[in-house]
Amino acid sequence: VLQAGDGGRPCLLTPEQVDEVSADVCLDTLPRLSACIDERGRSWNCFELPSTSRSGVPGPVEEIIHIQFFSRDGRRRWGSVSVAGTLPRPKTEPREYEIEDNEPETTESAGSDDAEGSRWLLAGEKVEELIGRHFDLINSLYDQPVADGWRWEGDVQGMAVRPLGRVLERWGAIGDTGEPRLSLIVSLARELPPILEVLCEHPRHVLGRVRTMQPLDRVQELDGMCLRWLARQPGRRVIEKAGVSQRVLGIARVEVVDTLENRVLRDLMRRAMLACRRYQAEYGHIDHERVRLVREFRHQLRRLLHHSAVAGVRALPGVPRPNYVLQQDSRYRIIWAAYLRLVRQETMLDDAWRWRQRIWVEDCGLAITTVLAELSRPGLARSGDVLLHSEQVAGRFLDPRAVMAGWNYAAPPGSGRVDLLDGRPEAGQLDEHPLVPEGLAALRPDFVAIWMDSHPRGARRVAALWTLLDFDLVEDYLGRRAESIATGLRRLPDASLVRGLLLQPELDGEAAHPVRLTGGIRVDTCRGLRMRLPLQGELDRLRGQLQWALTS
Amino acid sequence: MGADVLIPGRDGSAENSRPVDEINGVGVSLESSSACLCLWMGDAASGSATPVIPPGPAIPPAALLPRLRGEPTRGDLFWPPHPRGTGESWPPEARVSSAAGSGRFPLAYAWPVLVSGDDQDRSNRWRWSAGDGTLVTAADAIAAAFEPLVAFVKTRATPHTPPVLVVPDGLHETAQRALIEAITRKGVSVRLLWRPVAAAMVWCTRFAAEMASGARQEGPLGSLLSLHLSLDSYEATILEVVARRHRGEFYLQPARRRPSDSGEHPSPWFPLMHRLAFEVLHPHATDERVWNLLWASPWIATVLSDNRGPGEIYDWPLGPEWDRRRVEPALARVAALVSSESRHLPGTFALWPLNTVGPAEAERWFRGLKSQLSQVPLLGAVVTGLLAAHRSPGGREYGHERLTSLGVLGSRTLIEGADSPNILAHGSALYASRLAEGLPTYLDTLPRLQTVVQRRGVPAWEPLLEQNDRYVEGGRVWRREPNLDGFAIRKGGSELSTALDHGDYETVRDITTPLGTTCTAKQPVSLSVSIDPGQGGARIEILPVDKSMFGRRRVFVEWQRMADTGKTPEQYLERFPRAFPVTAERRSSLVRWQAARPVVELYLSKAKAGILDNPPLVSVVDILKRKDVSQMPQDATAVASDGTTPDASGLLARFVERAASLLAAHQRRGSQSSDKLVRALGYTSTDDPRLLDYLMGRIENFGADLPDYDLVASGNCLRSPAAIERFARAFTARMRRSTVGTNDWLKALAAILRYRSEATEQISSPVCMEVTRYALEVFKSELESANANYRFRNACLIIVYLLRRRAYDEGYLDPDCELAKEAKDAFRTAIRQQERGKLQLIGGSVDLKAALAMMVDYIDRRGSGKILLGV
Repeated sequence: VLQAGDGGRPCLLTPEQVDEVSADVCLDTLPRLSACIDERGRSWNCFELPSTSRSGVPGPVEEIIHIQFFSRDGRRRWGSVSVAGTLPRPKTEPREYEIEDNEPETTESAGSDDAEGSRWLLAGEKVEELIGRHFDLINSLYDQPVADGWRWEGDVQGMAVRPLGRVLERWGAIGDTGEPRLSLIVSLARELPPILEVLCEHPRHVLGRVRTMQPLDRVQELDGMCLRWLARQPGRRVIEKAGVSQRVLGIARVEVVDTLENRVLRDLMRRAMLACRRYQAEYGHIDHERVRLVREFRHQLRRLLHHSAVAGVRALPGVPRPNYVLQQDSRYRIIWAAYLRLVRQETMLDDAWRWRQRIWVEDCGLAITTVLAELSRPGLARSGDVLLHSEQVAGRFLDPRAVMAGWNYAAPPGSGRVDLLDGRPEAGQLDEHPLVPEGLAALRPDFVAIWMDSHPRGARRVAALWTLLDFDLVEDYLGRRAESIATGLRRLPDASLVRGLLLQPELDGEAAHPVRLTGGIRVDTCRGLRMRLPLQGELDRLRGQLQWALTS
Repeated sequence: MGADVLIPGRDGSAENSRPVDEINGVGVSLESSSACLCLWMGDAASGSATPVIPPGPAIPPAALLPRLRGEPTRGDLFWPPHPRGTGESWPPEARVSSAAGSGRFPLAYAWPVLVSGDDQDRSNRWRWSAGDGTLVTAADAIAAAFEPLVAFVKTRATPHTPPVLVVPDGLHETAQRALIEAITRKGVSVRLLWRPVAAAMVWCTRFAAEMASGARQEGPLGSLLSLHLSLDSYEATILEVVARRHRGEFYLQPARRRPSDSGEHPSPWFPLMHRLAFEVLHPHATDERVWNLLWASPWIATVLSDNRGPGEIYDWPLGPEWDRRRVEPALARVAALVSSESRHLPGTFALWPLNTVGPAEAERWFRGLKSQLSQVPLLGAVVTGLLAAHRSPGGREYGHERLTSLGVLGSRTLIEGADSPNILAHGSALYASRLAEGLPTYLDTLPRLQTVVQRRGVPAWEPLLEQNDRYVEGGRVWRREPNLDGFAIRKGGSELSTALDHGDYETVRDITTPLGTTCTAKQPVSLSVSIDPGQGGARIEILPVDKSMFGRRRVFVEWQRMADTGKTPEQYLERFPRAFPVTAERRSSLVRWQAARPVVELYLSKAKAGILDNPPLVSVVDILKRKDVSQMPQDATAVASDGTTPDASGLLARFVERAASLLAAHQRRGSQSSDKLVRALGYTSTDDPRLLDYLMGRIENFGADLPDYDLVASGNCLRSPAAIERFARAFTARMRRSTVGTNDWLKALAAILRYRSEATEQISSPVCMEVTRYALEVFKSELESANANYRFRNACLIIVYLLRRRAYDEGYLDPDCELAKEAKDAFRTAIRQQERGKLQLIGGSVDLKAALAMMVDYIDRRGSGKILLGV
C-alpha cells in the first residue's frame, strides 16, 4: 500500500529488467522517471503511478490498481498496488434521473456537515477546477482560429502548434476568477437549445408492429403467430373464432420513438444536465452572461427530459456506434457531434483526474513561464512553438518536443539570459543543456531555470523547481520536503549555484484547517511556497521567489 | 470586407488601427532584407497604397524548415523571430552549423538560386539535419515567406485580385512556374510582377501629369532606367514608356523587353555585410553570432537605412553593433578590405552555393551599364532596393550617387526610401488594383517558344507566340489566333509527339502525349496556345478537329514534364523523324571546274557553226561528268545539279548558249541528234528551254526507246513536275518490257528524284508504286547475284526518294503495306549480306549498312539524315 498523503506523487520502483509498466486504469503506459541506484548498488527503474479516482467520499480514498510489467526479454508479470490517502473526487455520475430541480450547488453549499470531510471534498473540488481550467486552456487554444495570420499556427501529428506568447496570454485570461470559464457546456448552451427544442417536440419515429386484439373489421395484417392464435380459437369460421367481442389478434402499426438516435438525444441531455450542475456549482454565485446562459439551458433540459416526447426513451448502457441517422440526418448529426464532445470531455476528465499531479506540473510550468516573460524583454522565446495534445497523454498536454528559447532577463541583478528547461525525463532537456549542474537531473526537478550573464563564460545561477499537488490536509509536510530538497542540493558539486523552490497548492478557508499551515518556508538553499488556486492570482509571490532563486 | 478592415498602427495595436473602405489590390515585395505588404485602398485612379506595418520590426524574410513530420515550411518576417535557426545555443532547433545545417532559410540565399535557374538542381536544397527530412527549394522558401503576408490580409478582407508578388526581371519561365506552384501548394493564389515594371509603374504614376502635358499622342515617349540595389543583387533594366489612351484617360505604361540574360549581377553588399557584422561583433564574433545578427534581427535594415531600430520601439538596450556611428566607419573599413576573393565568409557555414563578388567587380558592371546607357536617351530613372536610400558618409543616398556616376541623374528621378517609401510593393498593389478594374497596366514581350511543324512532310520550327518582340498587354492572357495547325495523328496512332524550343533554354524538349484513344483514321489536330505574360509559361492544348476524339478529356503539353533532348533546335531538326529524305543535290566542285574550264574554253574557241561533234566536245563531256573523289560520298562535279559553277565569269553560260543554239538549229533542220552535244548539255544540268523542249519532244516521241544520251540529259536537266511525270511514265513503259539493261533509265530517274524537290508532285501514287516495284525487282535481282553495283544503288535511291511522294500523298507507301514490307525485307537482307561480307557497294566509301538501315527508317516514317550513296 502506497500512502500518498492527500496529494503525493506515488511512484513505483521496479528492477531494471522491467522496461515498461501499464495499469488497468489508464490507457497509456506509465511515465518513466529517472532511474536510481540503492545502497547496495542495484539499479531500479522508477515509474509514476496514476492516482485514485474514487468519488463522492468525504475523506481520503484508497484504490487498488492492477499493474502489468513488461521486461526487456518480452516476459510479462502482473501485480497490484493499493494507493491510499488520496483526494476524493467530487461526485461525477448522476443517479439516473437525478434531474429533479435541485438548486444549483455552489462551493459554499457543497460537502457534508463533517468539517474534515468538507476539507477533503473542498480540496477535491479545487483540483477539479484546476483540471477544468487546464482543459479550457487546451480546448480554447486548440479550437480558436489563428489570431492575425502573421505567424503560422496549425495542427501537426494531431497536435496544435501555437506560439508561446499566445499560450501565455490565454493562460492568463483563463485564470480570471471574475469571469466564468468558457467551458464546453457554455458552447453547448449556445448551440443546442433550438435543435433540442425541435427534436424533443418532433423526434424521429419509426413505425413498429405490435400484436393487439383488434375488431375484426379493422385487422389489416396478420403474421404467423396471429394465424396460430386464430387457429387455436374454437369455431369454424372467423366470425365464430372472433367470439362475442368480435376481436382477433392482429398486427397494428404504431409510432415508436425509442430509437437509438433518440436514446443518444436523451443521454446527451442527461450528461449536459450534469455539466450544467457542475458549472453552476462553480460559478453560480457570479452574475455573468455565461452563467445565465447555462442556467437557462439547464432549465430547458429539465423541462424536455420530463415533459417531451423523448422522456420515455430508454437509457443507453454505454456509448453506442452511430447508426445512419446519427451520421447522416442533418439534425441528429449535430446531436451526435455534441454528444461525442461531451463524452470525450468526461472521459478526459476521468483520465486527467488520475494524472492530476502532472497537470499541476504543467500549470506551474505555465505560471513560471509567465513570470519569466514578465521579468524579461521581448525576445524570441515568445515566438517559439508550444505543441498541444488535444487529449492528455498520461496527464501531459504539452508535448516535450517543444523546447522553449531563452528569455532576455531584464530584472536585477542585471541583463542576461534565462533558459527554462522542462525536467520531465522524456523531454531530455536536462541532459542536453550544457549548463545544467551535474547530478541535478537525478533529483528530478520539474523545471530548471538557468540564468547566464550576457558575456560568454560569465556568471550563472540555477533555480531548480519542484511541484507537488498536496494540500497537506493531514500534516504540514512543506518544511520537511524543503529540507529534503536542500539536502539533495547540498550534495551537488555546484551546490553554491543552485537554489531550490518547492511549489504546493493552498486550500482556501485556513480556519477550517486542523493544522496551521505555513504560506512559505526557507530551508538553507531551498524555499517552499504554498500558492492559492488559480495560480494566475499568485504570480507576484512566485515572481519574488523566482528572482530570489535566480539571483541570490 | 468594408468597414471592418483594419490596418494596424505602427505598434501593431488595435487602438491605433484605422478602418478602410476597401482593399482593391495587394502587393508584396519580398526582398532579401525585409518584406513589405502594401494594400491598395479605393479605386485604382483615386485610391492610395497603404503599407501594412507588421507587429514588430522587419527582419530579413526567411523560411523555417519543418521539424516535425507534417509541419509546413513557414515564413518568419518580423522581430522577434522564431527561435529556429537563429544561431543561438538554446534551444537545439536554434543551432546552426556547417554539419547540421540550419532550420532558417533566408531569402537572401533563395532568390539568387531561383533566378540562376539552379533551383531545379537537387543538390540545391536547403538542409537541416534536425528537421523532418524535407528538402526545401528556393521556390518553397519564397512561398513560405509569402504565405503569412497573404494570411494577414485574408483575416481581414478578400481582395478583388490575387496578391501580386514582385519578382526579378530575369526570372525565367521554369522558375516562375516553380514559384507559382510552390505558392499554390500553400493554398494561396498569386500573380507575379516584374520588379522593374513595379518600380516603373510608380514612376509613371508620379510623372504622368508632367509627361502628359508634353505629349498627348499615343505611342512610345522614351526610355526609363530601373535600377535595383539590394543585398543579394544589382539589377538594371531599361524600359520603354508608352503613352496610351483608355476610356478617355491618358495612361503611361512601362513596356518591358525580354532580357537577353538574367540582367542581374551579384551585389557586393552580401559579403560586405557579413564582414561588417564580424567586425562590429569583435571581439566576441563567431559564425553563429554573425548569422544571428544578419538573419534573425533587423540589424541590416537598421544600419543601412534610416529605419528606426527595434530599440526605439521596444525598450531594448542595444549593443554597440546597433550604433550607426560606430558601424559607418567600420563599413568604410570593411569595404576597402573586401575583394572578390573566395575565402570563407563569416557566418555562412558553407550551407549553400554563393556567388559573391567584390566591389571592384561591381564597379566594372556599373561601367558596362554606363556605356550602355550613353546610347539611350532617358526620360528618368527609378532606384529601388534597401541600398537605394542608404546614406553614405557624405550624406547622399547611395541611389543618387549611383545615378550620378552613371550620368543619368535628372529631374524625373525616384529613389525608394528617400522620395517614396516601399516603391516595389506600392507598384505591385497599383498593378493589382488596375487589373481588378481592367485598366492598362504594362506592356510585355513574350518569350521565344516554337515547335516543330511538318508542312508537306518537311519539319520546321514555327513560333507559338508573338514574333518580332511585339508588345502584348501585361496581366492579360494572350491567345494565339488562329490555332496552330499542321499536326496530325496518323491512322492507328495513340499518341502525339511535340517538341518545344524555349528561349530560356539552349536545348529542345519533347514529349509524347498519350491521347487515351487510338485514331481509326488520320486525325488532324491543332495547338491552342495562350500565355499570361510573366505567369509561368504558355498553356498549350491539343485540339483535335474531331471534337469527340478526346471526349471530355483535355490534353495539354506541359513544358515541365517534357524531357530534355540535349539538342539545339538545329540539331533536333536534323534528327527529327521524317517520312522521306531531303533531296541530295549534286554539288559544284571548284577543283573539277578548274579542270573543266580550259577544256570548255577550248571547245568554245574551236566549235564551228553546224558541227555538232568534235574532239573538244568529247573532252567537255568527259571532263564535266567526272566526279570529285575528294568529296565522296558527297556527289560533286564541275557543275552542280542546279546548273551553277563556282565561277562567276559566265563561261558555263556561254557554253550552254552555244550548245543549246546548235541543238536548236539542228532540230530545226530535222537532223539526228548529236549524242555528245546532248550529253554535254546534260552534264551542265542547264534549265535552258531549248534543251528542255528538245527533251520533252524526245520523251513524247521515243518513250520507252529513249536513247542513253537523252536519258543522261533528262536525269540531269528535267525540272518541271509535268516533264518529270512524263518521264516517269516512259520509265514504267520501259520497265514493263524488261528490267534488263535499264541502268541508264534507273540512273536518270534516281538523279531526277534526288535533285528535284518537286519531282514527285505530279507522279501519281500508283505510278510511284509501280516504279518502286520495278526498282525493287532490280534491287532483288542484284542482291541475289551479290552484285551491289550501279543498278543496285540506283534502285535503292529510286525506292527511297520516291518516298518524297508522301509530301503530296501522306498515305503513299504505308509502312505496313505489302510493298513497303517487301522493300524493307529486301533492305534488311542486304544488310545481313553486307554484315557477312557477301555484299560490297561499289566505290567502298559508303557505310552501306547504315544507309540501308536509314532507308528502312524512312519507309517507317522515322528516318533522319541524308542518304549518301556516293553516286
